[in-house]
Amino acid sequence: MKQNFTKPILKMVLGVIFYLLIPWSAFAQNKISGTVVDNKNNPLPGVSVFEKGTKNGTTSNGDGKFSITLTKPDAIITFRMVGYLAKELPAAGKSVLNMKLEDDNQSLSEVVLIGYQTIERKKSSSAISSIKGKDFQNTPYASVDAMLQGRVAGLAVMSTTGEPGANNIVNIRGSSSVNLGGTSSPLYVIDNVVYDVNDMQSSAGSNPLAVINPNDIETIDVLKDASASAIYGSRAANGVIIVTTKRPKLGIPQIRLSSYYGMSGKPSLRSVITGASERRLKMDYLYGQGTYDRLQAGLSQILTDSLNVAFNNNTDWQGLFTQNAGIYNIDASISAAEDKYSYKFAVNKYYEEGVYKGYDFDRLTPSLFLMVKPSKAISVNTNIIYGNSKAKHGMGTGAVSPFITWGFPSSFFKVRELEEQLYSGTYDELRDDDRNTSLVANVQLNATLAKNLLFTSNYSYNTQNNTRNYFMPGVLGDGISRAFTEILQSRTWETTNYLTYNFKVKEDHSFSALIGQGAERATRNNSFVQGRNITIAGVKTVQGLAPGADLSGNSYTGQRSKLSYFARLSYDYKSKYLLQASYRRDASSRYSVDNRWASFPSVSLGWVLSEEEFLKPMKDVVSFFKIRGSYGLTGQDPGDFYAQYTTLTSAADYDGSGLANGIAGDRGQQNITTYNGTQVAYPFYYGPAASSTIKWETNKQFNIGADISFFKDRIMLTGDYYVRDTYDQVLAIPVPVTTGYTTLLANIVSTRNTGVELTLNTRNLGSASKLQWSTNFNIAYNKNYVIKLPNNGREITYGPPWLQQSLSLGLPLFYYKAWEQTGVYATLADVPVDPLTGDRLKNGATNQFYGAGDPALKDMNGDYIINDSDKINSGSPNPKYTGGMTNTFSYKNFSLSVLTTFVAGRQLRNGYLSDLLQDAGTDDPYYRWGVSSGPATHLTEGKTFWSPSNTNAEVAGLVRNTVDKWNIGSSAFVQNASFIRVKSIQLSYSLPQSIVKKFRMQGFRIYSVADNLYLKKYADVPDPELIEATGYYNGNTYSLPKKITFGLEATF
Amino acid sequence: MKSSKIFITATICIGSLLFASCKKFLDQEPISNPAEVNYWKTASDAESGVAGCYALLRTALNNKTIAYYAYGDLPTDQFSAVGSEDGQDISNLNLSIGVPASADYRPMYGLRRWDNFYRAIDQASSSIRNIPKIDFTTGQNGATKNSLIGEAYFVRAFSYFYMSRVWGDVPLVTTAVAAENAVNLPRASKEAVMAQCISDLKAAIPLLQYGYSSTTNRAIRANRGAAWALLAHIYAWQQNYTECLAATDSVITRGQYSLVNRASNYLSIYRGQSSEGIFEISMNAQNEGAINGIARYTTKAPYNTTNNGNALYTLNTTTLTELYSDTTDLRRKNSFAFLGTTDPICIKYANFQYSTQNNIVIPIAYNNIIVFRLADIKLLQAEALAALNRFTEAKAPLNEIRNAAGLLAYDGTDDNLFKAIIDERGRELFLEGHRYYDLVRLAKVKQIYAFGGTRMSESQFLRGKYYWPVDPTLIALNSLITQTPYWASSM
Repeated sequence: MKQNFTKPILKMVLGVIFYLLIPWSAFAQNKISGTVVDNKNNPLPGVSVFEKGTKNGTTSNGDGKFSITLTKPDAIITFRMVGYLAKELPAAGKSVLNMKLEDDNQSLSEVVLIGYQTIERKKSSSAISSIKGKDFQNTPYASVDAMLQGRVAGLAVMSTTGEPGANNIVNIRGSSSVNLGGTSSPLYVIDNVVYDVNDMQSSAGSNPLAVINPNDIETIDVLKDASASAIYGSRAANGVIIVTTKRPKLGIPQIRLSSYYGMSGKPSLRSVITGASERRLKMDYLYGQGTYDRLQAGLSQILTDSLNVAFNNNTDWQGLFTQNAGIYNIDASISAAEDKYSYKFAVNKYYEEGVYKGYDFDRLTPSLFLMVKPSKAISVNTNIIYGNSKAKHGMGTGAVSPFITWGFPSSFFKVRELEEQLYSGTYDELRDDDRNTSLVANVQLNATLAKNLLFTSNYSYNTQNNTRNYFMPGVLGDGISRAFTEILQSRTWETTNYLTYNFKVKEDHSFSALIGQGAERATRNNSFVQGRNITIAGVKTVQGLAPGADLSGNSYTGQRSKLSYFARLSYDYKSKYLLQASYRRDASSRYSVDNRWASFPSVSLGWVLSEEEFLKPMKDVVSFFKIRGSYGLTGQDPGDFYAQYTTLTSAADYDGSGLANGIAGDRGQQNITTYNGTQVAYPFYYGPAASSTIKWETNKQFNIGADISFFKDRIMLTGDYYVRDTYDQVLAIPVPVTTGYTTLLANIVSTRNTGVELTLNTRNLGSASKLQWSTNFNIAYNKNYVIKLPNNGREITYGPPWLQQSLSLGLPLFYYKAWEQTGVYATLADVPVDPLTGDRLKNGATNQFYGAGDPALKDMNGDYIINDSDKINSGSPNPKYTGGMTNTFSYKNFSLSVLTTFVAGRQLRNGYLSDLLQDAGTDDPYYRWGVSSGPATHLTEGKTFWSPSNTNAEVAGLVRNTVDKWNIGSSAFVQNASFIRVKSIQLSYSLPQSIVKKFRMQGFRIYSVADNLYLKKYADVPDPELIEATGYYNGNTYSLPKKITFGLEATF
Repeated sequence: MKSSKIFITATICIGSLLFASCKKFLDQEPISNPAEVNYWKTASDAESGVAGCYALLRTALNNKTIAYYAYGDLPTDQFSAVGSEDGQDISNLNLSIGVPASADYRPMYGLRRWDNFYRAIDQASSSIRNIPKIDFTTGQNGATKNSLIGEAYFVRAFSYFYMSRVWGDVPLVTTAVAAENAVNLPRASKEAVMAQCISDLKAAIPLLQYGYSSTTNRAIRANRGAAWALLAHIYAWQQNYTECLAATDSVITRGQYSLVNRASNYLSIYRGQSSEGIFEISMNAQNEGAINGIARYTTKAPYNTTNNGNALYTLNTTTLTELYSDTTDLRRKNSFAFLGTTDPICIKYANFQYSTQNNIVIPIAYNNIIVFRLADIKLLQAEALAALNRFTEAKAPLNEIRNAAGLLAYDGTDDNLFKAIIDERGRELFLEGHRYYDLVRLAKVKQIYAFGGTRMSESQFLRGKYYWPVDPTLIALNSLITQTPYWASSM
């Protein structure tokens, strides 16, 4: 019978009908028999069938059939099998009991999306990881990417800020971006709609994914290797994340309501000593180490008098900006599916208040899914997700507080109410209205043209609109009011049409073929208008300004298009030998006619050893064993929409120039556009020159992996090894100065990411145990390094002198350059002396000699001057190890899941510590310590500072700084950014069915989620995760708060 | 619907997308970014392209805010102390100091590089190539088209002349080359560079007009007068005083310029576009002023209300005393303040307007860079005549300038006349970017080394110290470029 229904959809539909038609009403008998099937109606052997509460049980045979003699007339029968959800059915009055078991997550028989097609996981020969939405649902974050940290081997997610709705760093198998501070975001595909976050723009760094409701996600498939992602061709170089939203379930209409409420706690901040004890601490230092005359003459007034009323002030500068904040989330949906139609309407509201005052994020997302089947052969569906979010960003300047670490004020100052409002962005007059609307919509036609031949036509439309209206009154900051309106709009339409054909030859040879074509056009429409000196009271937009220097604006339109052809062939022999090959050809309007087409082929092979006769005897030990390997090409668009064209500029600014209103114009800006009143135009020499030969960047990726399950899937292990080479990466290279340009964009750099990924899923207790405990552990090791550079591989250095980073052959991307600090000079005699001149070691920048209590920096070139040429490679911002562990416990109706994540082998540059020390270790503490917090801010844990009485110290002396000793370009400020975080704990309790049924509900669940509970760190920073993509940390970022929520979920 | 029908529809759908002008679908030209592909089409494109040449020249001469004065005035006896980053080293001609490549913001780094001049040159070459192809018939006449081409030649000649005066030999490129096709070039000899300048100017002069299309362009845009003035300076630099004389004659007799009254209106010269101005860099137009430039460095209150201390650059009081030994000199009286104190200032550029930003008062100076003016050319004529030993004739233009300044006629010997003319230039063109080159010519013609202090001894001069070194970063990127000989051993 099975062979007759190879068409998947029909098969499923009929399967369900079959399921519904099972004669539930039967007659009372002690002996009961039946068949257990999976959700594709394949018989399931090896299912434990038990009479509940007894030890009476059996196992289903090879055809999924079982037979059991019951001991009690009102017995309940439980069905359990690893990889499937346990089920229970009352057996009273029945003789035949057929059961269908639903897949559990991480099961091998589940289906994964591989782009335009699905494939059974066990038949896949690619490196694909999947996560179920329910594993992370109700985590209190605005966007889904923030919830994926530590869940998938090789998917590294790191926050750079804790601001609600902000962007994250998401890398699959490491970064290959050769732009300093750049990230290589994967391609997201949401319900067949390509959602390329690289194309999306935002005024204030908002996360484009934040308009998608994470609770509406059913599964996420992460395509890691080339064989999986190559079908997405030129966009897939950084991997692909396929998001599938929840679909209606077959059966009666279901109404689901869920909501949670919670709190974010004040973030942990730097600890400071305030008031009278602050003065005592500072004066102790100064009496101990300061000079008498400076103490007499130079002491800040605020420190002189111990009876000064200022010491009664103990302003908590950080407390001014932080608060305990609320979070809530409401989900409501109604859905139903029947043979001829299915629908789902859902709405989500999410609100997160900032733990820093003046910040918030608010989202409303209605969505609609509708499918109709007008005839047996045709189905049409549409899916529309409308996202609407609104955010506030404190002062709107990008800083969480007006005080940076350097010069953090002392607690002696008193703050007035107005200042407090101003500082914390709660001042009534400030207006920051940042709204994002997005529409992700698609219409899809599926038509069965002939037996096993399916035609699919998909049209999707995706538009993003970020409108920000900002008004800053003059009293905030510079005395001049400022307003701007910025509209960033992008819209993309894309159509794909493809044919799929599944067929078998002689039963054992299964083929699946796909051929298709696609076209895409993306448009950007941006406009910006800014006004200054708006003097009319109450006006908070750009109004009433005469044309001139105070009123400026511009608009931009850019357009690109792409054509593609693609094909895939999948073949397997008895599900034992697997082959998959795909080919895609893309053309982009970004490049010249000669360079616009590129091909992206891939091939993968798999061998399921456990299907071989020689392993069959070991079936009880090794239940599944597959080896797979793949190789393929993927691409990346490196360039601007108009990368092939030389652009002109109207910038007539020169060094030192200024507009009549006093705004400085710097060379290459576009404040001044005229020469003696005449509009100017010339090539944009200040940026890299365009090159007509610019083309795609190409990724070549090799992957070999294995999936092994032991003891009937009690232990499942997946391992992968990969080498991903990214060729022809675009970088600006120097050109002859006679061209007027300094650099030219060319496909010139190549990098490699290579690593190992391991995922281990275990069920730690037997299936008969009432307490179930499963563990997911994943770890990924990735190493990236540069394999090709221009100019015979000469090192390229970026960044200001004090924060140099380099691209260097064989070294990780953006390696830090820093002086190696070997310790602190205990005495003057320890400072090296130049035997030729008799001079001590000297600091090149300040021209001062090193002395006792100064940091000992290694003089690499032996010239007795510490300058930039003494810097050596000392760490990189790329994490080596990322991963996480999830432990899930369930007992009766309780379930508890704990996620711990970790990042290791990453270094940060501690600008925070450097700035603190700059302030504390100033050359003029007598005055500076009066106004600045200085040493009253917690500095280094358990470390001692050099002082004349304590010469054996790890940290240089605080008083006196002539050699710029806190310069961040020292290895003392390159620190281990590793951390372990107890990321998320979820506890839930489902009401027993007996109670739920009384209220005519299908289910009722209460839960609590605690997020970000514990952090183990190794660097002197509040949170080593929140560093910039460059690895720099300044201590002024929005901290990641602890969150706790309580929620309930009801289905009717 | 029947399966076959769907199949046909689908095939048509796919087919139409497959074949319906793929190429057109993929051809996307810039909509908002001006791009070279759709530029150089109309008369106004030509107009803004040439304005671009001048704007780039303005950028070059304001490189690190002071380039014009850093090359022309700082390393001379006019200053005793220069209080801005690298300023003192520039003033002392310590031009070989090490600057890390990462410190590209340093004036010493920027001023040793050529980038900005080649931008002006590249844009000029592109204008010379593209403007002739533009159809000017709509709303324009042929004369304008010609003068735009002539102006592009002028800007190129000026840029090369200026570079060659500073560095001597520089790479010579006379066509705009796409960056991807450019090849590394060695430094061409200064003779070849100057020959190119002269040939560009000879091409420019017939294309240019005598006057200006509008009074707003007066002295700002090159005309025949400006081209002759440049030619005169080129010949003077080459000590080809015969040709120099002919060029100055052309300026004076045919250029329609007249001296500004030194007593009543002297400072109007520096605001720009006076009756005396021949070629100026526009910095006095609305929104085109300078916040940070020579005016800010050389002034203090009450002329610059934002500086209540001393001027950042300190004038050399000895030089002032010697140059303006006749204290009745109207130029001394009208263009200096605080004379007799330890910190006298030059107020030629103190034409400030003030604006407030961030609660800070910002002085914005509205002065043009006065490159060539009539007094300069008259004194150059005198210099040429003196060099040609036509002393009597030489004294006429010299005395004309002296007379205008309220001084008596020159009463020195003929032997001292050349030096006296250079001194007169020093008085007349104080802080106008000429002194350094005047002193170089004085040294070449009369072997008098008057750079002041220990800047340049005779032997250093003879070894060519008066040419600037190139920044080592340029040599690192192009091994064909050699260091300026004098500096080769120290860099």
